Amino acid sequence: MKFRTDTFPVLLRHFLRDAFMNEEDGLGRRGIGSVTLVIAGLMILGTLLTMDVLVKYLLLGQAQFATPFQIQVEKLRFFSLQATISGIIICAGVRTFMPRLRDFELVRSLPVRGRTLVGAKVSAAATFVLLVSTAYSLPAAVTFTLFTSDTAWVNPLRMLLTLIIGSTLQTLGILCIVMMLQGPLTFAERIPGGKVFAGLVRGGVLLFFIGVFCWFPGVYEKLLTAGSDPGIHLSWWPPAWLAGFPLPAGSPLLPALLVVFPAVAYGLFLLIGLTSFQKNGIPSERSVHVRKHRGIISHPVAWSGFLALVIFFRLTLKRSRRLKAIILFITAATLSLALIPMAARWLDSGEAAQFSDLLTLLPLMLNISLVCALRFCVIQAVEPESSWVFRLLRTSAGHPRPALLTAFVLNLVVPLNTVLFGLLAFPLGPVAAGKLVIFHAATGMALAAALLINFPWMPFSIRGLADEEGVKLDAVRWLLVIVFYYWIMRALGKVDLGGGTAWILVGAAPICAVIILVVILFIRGRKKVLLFEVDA
Amino acid sequence: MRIAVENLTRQFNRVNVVDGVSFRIEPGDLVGYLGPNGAGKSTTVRMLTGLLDPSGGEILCDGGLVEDNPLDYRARVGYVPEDSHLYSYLTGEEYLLMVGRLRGLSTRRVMAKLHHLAELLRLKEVDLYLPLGNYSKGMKQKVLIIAALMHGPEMLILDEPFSGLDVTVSSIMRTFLNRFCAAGGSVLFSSHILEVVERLCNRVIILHKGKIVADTTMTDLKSMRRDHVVEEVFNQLVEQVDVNGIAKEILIYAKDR
Repeated sequence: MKFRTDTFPVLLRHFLRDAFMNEEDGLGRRGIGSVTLVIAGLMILGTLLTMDVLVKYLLLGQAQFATPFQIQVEKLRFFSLQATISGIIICAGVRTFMPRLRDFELVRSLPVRGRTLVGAKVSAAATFVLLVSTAYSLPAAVTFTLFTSDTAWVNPLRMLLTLIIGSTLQTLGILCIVMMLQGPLTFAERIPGGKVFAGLVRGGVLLFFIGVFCWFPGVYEKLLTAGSDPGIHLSWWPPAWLAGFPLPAGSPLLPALLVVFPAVAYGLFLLIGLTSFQKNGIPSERSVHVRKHRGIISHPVAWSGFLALVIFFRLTLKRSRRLKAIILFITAATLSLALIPMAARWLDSGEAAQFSDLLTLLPLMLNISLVCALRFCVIQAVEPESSWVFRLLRTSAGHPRPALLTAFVLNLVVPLNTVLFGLLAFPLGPVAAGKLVIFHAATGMALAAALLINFPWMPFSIRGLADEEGVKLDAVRWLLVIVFYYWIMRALGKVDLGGGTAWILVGAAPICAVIILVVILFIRGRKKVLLFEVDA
Repeated sequence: MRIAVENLTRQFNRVNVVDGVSFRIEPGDLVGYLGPNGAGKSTTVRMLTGLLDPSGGEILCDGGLVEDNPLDYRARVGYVPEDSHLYSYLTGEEYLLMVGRLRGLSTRRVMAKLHHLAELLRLKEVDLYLPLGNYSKGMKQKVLIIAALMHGPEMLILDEPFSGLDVTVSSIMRTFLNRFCAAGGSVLFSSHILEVVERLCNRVIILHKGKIVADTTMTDLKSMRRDHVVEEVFNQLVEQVDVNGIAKEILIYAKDR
């Protein structure tokens, strides 16, 4: 690919800056501060991971560390965590990394080639993710090398280079895979049902990267017990394929994978990712602007206020990619952290009790994660412009909290638990599944109500930075509510839901809680002043 | 710079939004490209600037196909788009510097030009250091105009360029465009506002449902129907509507509580 030497560096510099500036968050220039914070956090994480290794092996004086095998296994842990971090960051930023309508409109009327634009955009994305991955890997690589190079067989420079090159290759490989998928998925979104399909694929990819982190402890144990022949396990461990670092011998499949997998990733990216982003295929951002507020305006009945907010809530969620990504991420993280290890244990042991536990935990975790995700979403400033619409409705609409709770229930609690009933009716039977789902729907509503107490803003239409102190306090309250809720619900879930009296008692408690909380919400709602963007 | 558009067509969802449009623009022409909303004006402009590929037809520049040498063509054209897809975090100065650099100008030259042009277009020096996200519609429009003029274009393609501009700057721009064409430049001025085109252009192309319904001088357009003002001619050419009747009906809805 040839680039015009005079325009490419200008564009590269611009797009690299664009990757740091997260405009969608409404943070503008403050976006650079957020990214710096993430990079600093990753540097600390990388160092902590290394320190963990050092404490375990060096300070405790375990002699077995002085084997190439142990070092390989520890390196694999390092690469696995990096795969998760890089994967999540790339999945979150992939839309910024790909050429957008605005980039195209800026550049295509100027004497700049389309391939220069795409090349600069992809190079900027690669530079950005490499910067982030280096922030994580460099402190770890240096410390790791320094503390292990005293053994005679380790060449420090070679080890440092191996770690850095492996880390770079892995990050670039992940970037290629995610960007390769992005092109066809953008096109898929245009056909009926395509959006759901694309969302599922994106969710699956994200879940995979989180899953790497969750599954690794099991792989780590297996590797340690495998002794001198760990290659057979590594053959099926994707982070090892991309990193390409020298792995222990013993697997006939692994060397081939180390060559073939990155080649396939980079090759497919060039073939599909780049070619699918022809200039007329770039998704339109304009259509989003045109549709803004149409939802409210086209529902005259909604001007009653209460209903307007419920409709506004649904349409905003439906339209905003960022909100959907937040919900997807929180749900994927919860499922990965809470359910995947449990599913793995059940698959490993095959015990029916583990399976039953998994099934009863599923509605609890989904209700918690989705309610929390939605509660987090409503303080995101995705529609600050709509503040004026609701400001006009101030007198007739009243406080939005009851409407917001209704929106939570109609858009989340009811559909989610209906789907869960369908899923659980077969393994648990319709009666037990019904009881379980009613129980969790009621408690999910209670959780939503609890998290909405003191919510003073118009959802989606205020910038979160307006009341930072309040946000910090919210985080503590949130944590307390969620931990308490999880603990109580988990304990109650253990009660045999099939028992008549027990179930009535267990079911009555959260329902009473819901009623009390809703009453509190309404009472407090009348006293509290609703905040708008201009007030804050 | 001579532009010839031959049988230009663009389809969206199997509908011809621009349907076999042909016209020529010679040096010195100040052509109004007129039509109601949805007539296909912006689509034509986007094809002329390279933002959209035509479904059929050709665009020629000085006798050669534009697609054979698009970079040379774009280097000679200045474009002011209808919608400003600007990077809200860049300051006016940063944005213009980037555009200038992408047009091959040196940093020093861009800085000198942009500050002078900003001053002439009544854009305050201090505003150039503000992020574009803080700009008003008119300020953004001035930045886009400066971006289109910095490299010394031979032809200007302007899509609703006066949108958001105040009276003084609009007047300055009208005078500038006349002088630009008198000096051998050419302008394609796309607008749906008849009065602006009438006051400014020496030739008008009227587009309706993707097809050209008139390509004539302003004088000829006026004389096409004796004793009628241009607005009536325009209404007749573009769409037969009962303006008074519709206004009356809107009033009924507007008064209804």
